[in-house]
Amino acid sequence: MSALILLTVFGIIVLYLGFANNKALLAPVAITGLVISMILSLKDWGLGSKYFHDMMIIDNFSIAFNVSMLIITILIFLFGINYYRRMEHHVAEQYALMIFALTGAFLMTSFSNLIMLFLGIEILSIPLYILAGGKKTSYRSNEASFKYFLLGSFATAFFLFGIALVYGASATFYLPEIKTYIAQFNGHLPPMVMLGLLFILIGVAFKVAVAPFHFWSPDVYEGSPTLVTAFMATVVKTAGFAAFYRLLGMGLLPLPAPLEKTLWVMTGLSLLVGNLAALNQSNFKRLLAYSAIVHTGFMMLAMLSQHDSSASVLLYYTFVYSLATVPLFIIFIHMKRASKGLEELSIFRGLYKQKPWMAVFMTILLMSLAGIPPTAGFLAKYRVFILSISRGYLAISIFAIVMAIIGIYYYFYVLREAFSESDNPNPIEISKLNAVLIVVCGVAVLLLGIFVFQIPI
Amino acid sequence: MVALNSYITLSWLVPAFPLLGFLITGMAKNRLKNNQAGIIASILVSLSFLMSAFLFFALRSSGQESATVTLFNWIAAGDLKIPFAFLIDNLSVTMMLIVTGVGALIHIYSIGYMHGDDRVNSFFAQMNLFTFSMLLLVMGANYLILFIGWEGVGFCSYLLIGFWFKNPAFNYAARKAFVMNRIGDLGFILGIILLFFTFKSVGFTEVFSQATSMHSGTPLVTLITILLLVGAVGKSAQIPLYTWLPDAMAGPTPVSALIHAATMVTAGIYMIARSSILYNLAPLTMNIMIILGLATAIFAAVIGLRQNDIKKVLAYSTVSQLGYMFLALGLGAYSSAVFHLTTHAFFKALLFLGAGSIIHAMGGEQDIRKMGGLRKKMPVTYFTFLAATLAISGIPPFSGFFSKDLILSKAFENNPLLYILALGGALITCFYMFRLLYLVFFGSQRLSTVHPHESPRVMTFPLIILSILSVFGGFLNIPSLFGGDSRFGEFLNKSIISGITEELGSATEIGLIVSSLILLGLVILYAYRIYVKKADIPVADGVSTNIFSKAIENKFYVDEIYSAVIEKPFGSLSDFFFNKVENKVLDPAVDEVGILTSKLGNLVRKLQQGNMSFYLFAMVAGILLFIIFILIV
Repeated sequence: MSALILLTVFGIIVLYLGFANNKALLAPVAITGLVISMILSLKDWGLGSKYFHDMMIIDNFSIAFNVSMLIITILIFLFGINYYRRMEHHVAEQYALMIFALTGAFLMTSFSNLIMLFLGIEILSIPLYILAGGKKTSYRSNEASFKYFLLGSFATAFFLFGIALVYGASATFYLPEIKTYIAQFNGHLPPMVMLGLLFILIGVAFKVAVAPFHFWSPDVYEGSPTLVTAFMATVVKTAGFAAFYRLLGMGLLPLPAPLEKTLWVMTGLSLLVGNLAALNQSNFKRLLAYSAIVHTGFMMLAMLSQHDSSASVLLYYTFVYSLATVPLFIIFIHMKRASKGLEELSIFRGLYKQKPWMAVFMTILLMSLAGIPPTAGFLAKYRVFILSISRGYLAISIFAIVMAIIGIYYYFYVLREAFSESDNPNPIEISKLNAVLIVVCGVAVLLLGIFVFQIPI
Repeated sequence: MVALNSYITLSWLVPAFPLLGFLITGMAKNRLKNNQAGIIASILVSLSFLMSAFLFFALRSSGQESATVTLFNWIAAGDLKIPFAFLIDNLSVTMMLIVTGVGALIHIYSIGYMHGDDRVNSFFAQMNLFTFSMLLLVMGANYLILFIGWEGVGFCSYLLIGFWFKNPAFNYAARKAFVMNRIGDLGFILGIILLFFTFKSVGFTEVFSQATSMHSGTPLVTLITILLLVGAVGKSAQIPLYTWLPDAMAGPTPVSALIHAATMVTAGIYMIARSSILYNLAPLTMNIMIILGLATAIFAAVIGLRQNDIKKVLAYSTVSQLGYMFLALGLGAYSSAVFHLTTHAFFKALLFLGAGSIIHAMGGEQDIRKMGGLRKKMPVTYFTFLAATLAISGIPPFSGFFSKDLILSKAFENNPLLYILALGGALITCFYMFRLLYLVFFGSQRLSTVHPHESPRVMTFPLIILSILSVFGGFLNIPSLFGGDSRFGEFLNKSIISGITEELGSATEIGLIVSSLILLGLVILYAYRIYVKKADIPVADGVSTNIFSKAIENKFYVDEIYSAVIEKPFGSLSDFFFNKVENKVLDPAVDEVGILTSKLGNLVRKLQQGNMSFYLFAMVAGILLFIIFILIV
C-alpha cells in the first residue's frame, strides 16, 4: 500500500516540478519515485495484506506484476530523457500522467472487488486519453486521443452495465462472494448473470485489445506519440492481463461453458486477425500494434490455461514481450527522426551499414517477438504452449503455433529492410544513454532466453 | 578437502579466459593493430593454463578423486534434466593441461607465424574460440556439454581450415572436413539419445554408476558404444572417415598443430576413455576398435611413405598415431591411449610447428623434394625437429618410446599377431619420419631461389619448450620395468576403469623392447643410406611405374572411390530432387500458401479504415453475436 501512496505523491511532485521550468530534473525525480515504490512493493512480498474492507488484496501476484510494470516504466522514463528533450512545454505532465496511469494499473493487479477494478481501469485510462493527444498540434495525435476516448467510454459503459447486472443478481461486488453465488447454479446461470459476466469480460477485453474489440488499437498506436504508444503496448497491456487473470482466477472460474467458448473464440480471432493484418503492413507502428494483438492472443492462451504455474507464465510472457517491444519503439523513433518523420518500414533501410550494432540488437529483439531461440521470446512461447497442451487445449495450441510461424514473416520483413542497402542514408543520431539501454535490453532478452528461471507467485 | 571445494568452483575461469579472448579479439578486430590480437589471445590462453595447473594441484592435494561444479541448471524438460556442469577429475585435468599448455605455446608461435596476415585478428579470435570449445568438450560433466564442445571445435576447425578462403581448394577442404565430421556427429548424437533413453540421464556420474551393475554384452550398451564410436571415428580420423584430415592441412600450420594434431582430433580418444565403463561392457565394440585402429595405423603409415608435401606426411602420421591410440582403447588400455595422446600432443605439435618454421623459411614451399640442407641454416628448428622425430619413432628415452612401447606390450598380451602388425606400423613410421628428416635437413639445398634463415624467437621459443616436453615427457610414466611406478597411468586410472589387469613378465618385455630397438636402428640406417648416402630424391608425381607405389602415391584412390560411390550418386539424386521435386512441385505449392495468406491479409486490412462509426458498428456486432451465442447456444 505504501508503494501505491508513494507513487501518487511522486506523481504530484513531478506535476508541480513542471513550474520549476527545469526539464532535466523531471526524469530523475520520477525514476527515483518508481525505484522507491519498487523497493516498498518488494518489502510486502509474502505478506498478503488486505485493505479497505478487503476490497484490495496485495499478494505476491500483484507485487510481481507491479514490479514488472515498474521496471518497464523506468525503462520508458529513461528513454524519455532523450525523447522529451525537444519538447518545450508540458513535459512534467507527460511523466506525471504516466505515473498516475501506473497507480491505476496497481489497483488493477490487486482488486478483489469489482468497484476497485472499475476504479483502476478508469484511473489507468483517463491519463492515457490525454497522453494519446500529447502532440497538441498534430492532427493524428488528436484523432488518436479522441478515438481512444470515444471507443474507451463505450467499452466502459458496457463494463459498468455488466457490473450492475451481476450486482443486481448477486447483491455483491466482492469476487469471492460472486464466486460462491455462481457456484450454486452448477453451470446453468440465469441470463442476467450470464449477460453481466459477458459485459464485464468484454470491458476488460477491450482494454487489452482482444479481437473483435481491437479496432481502436492500430489507429491509437499509430497516432499517439511513440513513447506513449510504447507505454500503452507494454505497461497497459500487462495491467489489463493482470486484471483479467485475477478476475477469472479469483472469481469467475470455472466459467460457464458458453462464456469460456466466447473467450476461446476471442483468442483465436486475435491470433488470426492480428497476424493477417500485419502481413502486408507498411507502417511500423501499426505493424507493432497488430503484433501486439497477436501477442494478446498468446497471453489469452496462457491466461485461459489456468493452472498453478500459469500466473508465472503470464508474467514471464508479458515482461519478456515488453522488454523487447519498448526498445524496438525507441529504435523506430531514431529511424523516424533520421528520415524526417516517415513511419514506413523502408526507413530501416541501410541501418546495418550505418549502425551495425543497432541492427544486431534489433535482430535479437525481433527474434524474441517472433519467438526464435535462444531469445526469451522463444522460452515464453514455449512455456505458454507447454501449459496449454498440458491442460489439454491441443487444437488451439496447434493453431497458435501455426500463427507464431506466420508471425516470423513480418518480423523478418523488417529485418530484411534493416540489412539491405539504402540509396540515400540519413545519418542516425543516438544518445549514449539510449544506446546503452538498447544493448541492455537486448542482452537481457538473450540472458532470459538462456538461463531458465521461474518466479513462484 | 575443504580447500578443494572452494578452489574448484573457480574452474569456470579456465574456459572463460579464452572466451573472453575471443570476444575481445573478435569485437575489436578492426581496431587491433600488429601483434596486439596475438598477444591478447596468447596471454588469455596462458592464464587458462595457469588456472588448469592450479586446479591440478588443488585436486592432487585434496586427495579427492573428482569434483562436479554445477554452474546453473540448464535444461529441464520432463525427464530430461541437464545442468551446465563441469567434471574436474584426473582425466579432465590432464586434458585441460594439454589443451591450454600446448595451446598457449601454439598461440605464441602464431604471433610470429601469422605476422603480417590481413586477417590476423580473426585468426586469433577463432583460435581462442576453438580453445574455449575444446575446454567445454573436456570439462563437461555430461554428454551434452561434451557435444556442444564437440560441435564447437568442429565449427572452428571448419573456419580455420578455410582461413585462406580465397583459394577455392582450401574452401573445399574445409567443407570436406565439415561434412565428414557430420557423418560421425550423427552417430554421436544418436548415441547420446540412446544413452538418455537407456539411462534416463546423460550425466557421466549418473550413467556410469548405473552401468556398473549391467552385464557385459548388453545389446543396448553395445549399440550405444558403437554409435559413440562412429562419432569418435569421424572426429579422430579413423578408417573410413579419415580422408578429411590430410586435406585439412590447407589451414595455416599452427592450426594443423593445435587442432589437427594435438587437441581436436584426440577428442574421440578422450570421449571413449571417458566412457571406459560402457566400453568395458561391450567386447564387440572393443574388437571393432582394435581392428579399425590397427588398420588405420598401418594403412596411413604406408600412405605416408610416399607423400612429398611436408604437412601431408605429418597428417598421415597423425592419422596413423591416432590409430595406435584406438588400438590401445580397443585393448582396454585406456590410460595408455591417453598417455600416448599426451606425448603425441607434444611431439606432433612440435613437428607441425617445426614444419611451419621450415615453410616460413622456404617462402611457403611445402615440397620436401625442393628442400634439403636446412640443418646448418636452421639449427634450432633442426634440433627440435630431430627430437620430435626420435620421439615419434619410439627411440628411448624419448617420450614416444614409453607411450608406444606401452601400447605394443599391451598388444602382445592380447595376441602376438597384433604386436607384430603394430610393430610393423611403427617401423614404417620410423622410416617415413627419417626420410622426411633427411630430405629436409641433410644434403644440399635444392631450391636456389630462396634463402632460408632461422625463424624469429617468438617461434623458436615454443619449439624449444615442446622439444623439452617431447624428450622428457615419457618420464611421467616410467614402467616398473625401468624402476618407475607408472605414475601417469595410476593417476589416470582414478578416473578411468581399465579393461585389463594382467602384466607381462619383465623378461618377455625386455626381449620385445630389444628386438624392436634393433629393427628401428636398421630402419634408420636404411633410410640414411637411401636419402643421405645415395642422396636419392623421390621422383616427380606420376612417373613411377610400379603399380603398388603408384597406388600409395594416390593414397589408394580412397578419395576417388568415395567420390564415385557416394558423392556422384548423391549429387545426381540431389539434382533430381532440386530440379523436379523442389522447383516443380514443392516450391510452387509453398508459394501458393504464402500468396493466399497475403491476400487474406489485405482483406482484413480493408476492415481497418479509420472510420469510427464502422469500429463502433463492428464492436456492437461482436457483442451482439456473443450475446446470441451465450443465451441461445
